[in-house]
This record gives sequence, structure tokens and C-alpha cells, in this order.
Amino acid sequence: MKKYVAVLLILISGLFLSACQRGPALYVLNWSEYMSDDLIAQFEDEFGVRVVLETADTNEIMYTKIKAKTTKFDVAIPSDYMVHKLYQEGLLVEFDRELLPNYQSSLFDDQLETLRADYFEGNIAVAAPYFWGSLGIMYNTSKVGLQDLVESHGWDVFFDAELTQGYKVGMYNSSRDAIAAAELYLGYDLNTTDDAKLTEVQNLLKDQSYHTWGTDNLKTMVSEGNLDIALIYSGDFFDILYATMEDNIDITYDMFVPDINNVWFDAMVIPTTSQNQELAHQFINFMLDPDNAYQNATEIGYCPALKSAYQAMVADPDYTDIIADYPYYPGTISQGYVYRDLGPTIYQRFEIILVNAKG
Amino acid sequence: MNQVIRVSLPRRMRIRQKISSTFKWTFFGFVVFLVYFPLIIITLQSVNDSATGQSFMGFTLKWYVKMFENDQLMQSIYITVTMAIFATLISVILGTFASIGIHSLSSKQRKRAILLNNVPVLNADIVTGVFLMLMMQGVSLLIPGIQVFGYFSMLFAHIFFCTPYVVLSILPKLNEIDSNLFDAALDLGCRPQEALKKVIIPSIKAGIIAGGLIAFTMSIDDFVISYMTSGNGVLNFSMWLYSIKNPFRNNAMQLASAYNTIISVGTLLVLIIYNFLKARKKKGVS
Repeated sequence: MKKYVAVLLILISGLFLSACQRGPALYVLNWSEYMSDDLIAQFEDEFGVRVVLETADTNEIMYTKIKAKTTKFDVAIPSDYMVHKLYQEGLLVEFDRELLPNYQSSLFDDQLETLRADYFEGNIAVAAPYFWGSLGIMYNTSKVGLQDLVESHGWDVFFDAELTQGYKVGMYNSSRDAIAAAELYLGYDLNTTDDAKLTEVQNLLKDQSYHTWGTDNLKTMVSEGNLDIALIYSGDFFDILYATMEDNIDITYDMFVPDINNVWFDAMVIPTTSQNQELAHQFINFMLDPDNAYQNATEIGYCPALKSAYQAMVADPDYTDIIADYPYYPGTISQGYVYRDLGPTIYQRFEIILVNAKG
Repeated sequence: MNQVIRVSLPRRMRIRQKISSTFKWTFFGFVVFLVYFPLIIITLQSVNDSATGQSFMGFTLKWYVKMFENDQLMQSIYITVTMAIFATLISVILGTFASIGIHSLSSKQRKRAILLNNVPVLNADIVTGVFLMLMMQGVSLLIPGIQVFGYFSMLFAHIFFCTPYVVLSILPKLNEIDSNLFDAALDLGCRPQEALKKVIIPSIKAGIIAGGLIAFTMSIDDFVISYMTSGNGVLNFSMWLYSIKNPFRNNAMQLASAYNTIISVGTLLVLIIYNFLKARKKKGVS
């Protein structure tokens, strides 16, 4: 019996040792695999702190995690509309510009800066862009003529059944994105709350019959050749592209990014839950360092928000071909719309539109 | 003079028997297929030399190596395993004493105690998770500045949902043993603690082990309650898997498959060894 007690005591002391890690910590809420581990280690060394990473897979989960306060986050990286929502609810700390010497408007891509200027007032004071991209149309290149069709008709391929006769079309099973595609086709603002316009969108989506309503599986289906056309986020496209390249098999798909488009960007913010705002500023400043942003982008593979980091990516031998061959840079979009938070009533309406469209 | 009388079944009955036997085997095959097919797929993916996992591109063990290079994954596995061990140990100790206590209550009180014990078992995980979270939120409001959520809050929650299962598996064993056993031990000169240690606990050992196994399996694969009660970067494996936005990033899918295969094979080995030892022991006795 004494033996067992001794073993138990050792185990329990081990437990206490394992759970107690010393030193101040910076709590970061991020997407999974969305930040270079080397950079985080470098930051930890430089500032003598511990970075505790927590991950979420949707903006809504990020929102609940920030609000639940089970972890008091110092830095979070939500997307555009969630930044807006958090801002409206007063959950974001305004940046102290003196602590962010790297945060200058000339630092970011010019196109992105234009979009941010038109975005909700005050966004520049609370959010520092991280990566950005757009929506796109992923299509199967092994189907002869499909490339011409997609490139000449753009968003029409989702709403003109005659054009895509004989092709399998997939639509994003998310109300905001499916509605965005319809609004882009109709030429409306993606943040419209106009009742008549939304009714028109509803009728348009209802008249379509898509082969598949999916989310992450859409890109897999197109890459396998089980689907010909699908709505996709540029980030998702590059994820599957890099995986296919790693496998060294033929790439039988491509993405077309129409000129009038949704533009998304993820941005670093400091939630009001932060217990160590100075350190949070230092972290953001560190990530905004051009060299660090470039290193981060080479590892993640998305388009960095920093102008200089993008230019360095173009010159990077690993990425030159990819950037030339695929729509890597979202800055070519002539008319970009950034999602804003539209409030719960409109979101409810969106859900009804989606349910009707699928039914 | 025993004469074997052969009774030949009527033809119709024989056909019926044949049909029922075919049905039995098809059903059995179907169930085995449903249970083991996903495991086979996961095992195949874990040795598939492909980043997309869309087709089988050759055998490899590199994911098993890469698994150990992914810090986030390794940390989550470490948390999962240590949490399962501690939750099992503590809930087994608590559950053993609780069930001995419940067993010695009067019949009416015992029924009430068992009912109370069953509530967390029957409760939906999400309800348990949310109310534990709210309770801990309350603690963090009462004592400002304390970091409630993390390893210990999750461990507490795991003990909370494991203990009732341990109690449930020990109580029937206690009912089986003679109610005078404890008194007999005292009469023969045992002190009460000794009687408990030397007589009662050994005679309910099977129940304790079964309860511990249930607690371990409950803890190692829990997601919902852990998700609600954890925080500050403490993730167990299922939470890590759930937070993967994209299975193609850094081969998350393959690494998860490798871990799952290790767990499945490990469980299988434990079962085989356990049964082997049991069979040998039985042989030795007879």
C-alpha cells in the first residue's frame, strides 16, 4: 500500500510541476497553422515571455472565445467583419501608436489601404492587417473550354444555368458567401441591407440548382475532378495548391478572380480583455516588421498585407512561379468590397435566404 | 441402453433456420464493417505518402515521425494522456470510497444517492460543460486576478464526469459480496481501515479496474466538456483537431490519423495481452 501511495505522490507532484510554467505570458487567439512557429520562438527569446497560442476555426468561435473570457486574450486575428463587430461592441483597444513604430499607413499595400479608408470609421486605429485575399472561382482545367467560359463570364457561371450546362457547379454552404456571389452577379454592394435587393437575391438563389452545397469539401472535389466549378476563398485555394504540389501530381485546377469581388483581410487586434497591453503592442509591432512579415508569409503562403513583404515574395524563388501563374495578389481587383458587420436581423434574413435556396 | 433418437426437422423449419443463420452472419458482417471500416481508412491514411490524401501514393511512416515534430500536437497529446491518467486515478479513489459509502446507506437513502449519481451520467455533455464553465466563471469573479481556466479546471471537469461511472461499475460488485464480510473481518481482529484495505477492496477489485477503464476512455476522448472548461492555451487532442481550420495545412489530417492509429493499435494490444494473461492464469488454476 505504501508503495502505491508513493507512486501516487510522485505522479501528483509531476502534475503540479507540469502545470506550472513560469514567466509572463502573451495570449494569442489565431487560426490554426496561421503563424510561423520560428517567429513566435524568436519573439519569446527577444522579450523573455511565453506566447500561449489558442486557435479557432471560425470567426464566430473567435468572438465567443473573446467574450467568454475563459482566456484573457492579448492579441486576436479575426477577419474583417468580425473586427467590425468587436469594434461596435467596444471590445477592442485603440492602438497606442507610440508603442507601434512599425505601424504606418505606407507600410501596407496601396490597394488594401484604399479599401481600409472606405471601411468602417476607426478601423485603422484598432486593427493591423495580417494577410489578405479575395473570393474566386475554382474550376477544373481538364475540361476543355471551361477556362474560357469562366474567364469570360465571371460570376455568371453560378447563376446562368445555360452557360454551365453539363458542368457540375458547387456553391459555398455559408449564407454570407453564397449571397455575396449573387450580389456580385447582380452588381450590388456586398453590404447592402436593402429589402428589395435582398428579395431579388433570394429569388435568384432559389432558382439555381447546384450540384453540391459544401464548404471545405468543395476544393477537394474540384481537385479530384468530381466538381467542375466552385466558389472558393483564395486562402483555401492556396492550401490545396500547396498540398497538391507537395504530392507532385498534376494540378488539374485553377482559380479565376473576377475584377469585381469581395476582399477579405485578417487583422491583428487587441481585445479589451488584455492584461498586458504593452506586450500586446510589442507583439503586433514585431509582426509588422517587414522582415518578420516576409518570413511569416513564406511559411504560411498567403498574400501578406505588407507592401514590402509582398515584393520580397515576388522575388522569392519558391514563390515567383506561383505568384506569376496563380492569382496570388488580390490587389488587381478593381472594385473590392470588404464585409462589414450587418447586425443580427440581417444575418437571420441571410440564413432564411440560404435555407430557401437549398430547399 | 441409451438410444439416440434422431429427429429430423421438417423441411420448412430447416429452411427457416438457414435463412436466420444467413441473416445472422450478414448482420454480423455488416456491424463489423461499420465499426472497423473507418479504422481501416484512418490506418491507411496514416501510412499514405500523400499530402492531399486523395489517392494512395505509396507506403510511408513519415507522418509518425513528423507527428513528434509538431509542437502543438505533441503538447495536446501530452495534455490528453496526463489528464486521462490523473482523472482516472483521482476518480477511481473518489468513486471507490463514494460507492462503499453509498452501499452502506439505508435502502431508501441509497436509492436517492444512486439517483444523484446518475444525473451527471445521463445529462448531456454540453449541459455539464456549460454549467461547469459558469461555475468556474463564478469562482474567477469571486477571486479576482486568479487564472481559473486551464489544466486544473479541465482536470476538475474530467474528474467530475468520470467519478459517477466508477461508482456505477463498483456498486454491483459491492452488492455481490456478503454483507457480513466486513463484520467478520472485524471479528477476526482487523481494524476498520485494515478490513477495508484487506477485505473489501480486494473483493471489489474487478469493479474498480472496470471503472478505471471506463474513466480512462471517457477522459481520453472527451471534447465537449473539455472545450467548455479549458482555457489559456490548454488544448487536448480533440480540441486541437477541432480547431484545425484546414486539414491540408502542415498535414494536420495525416498527423491526426497517425495518432489515432497509435491509439487504436495500442488499445488492441492491451486487450490482446490482457486476454492472453487471463487465459494463462485460468489454465494455471485448473
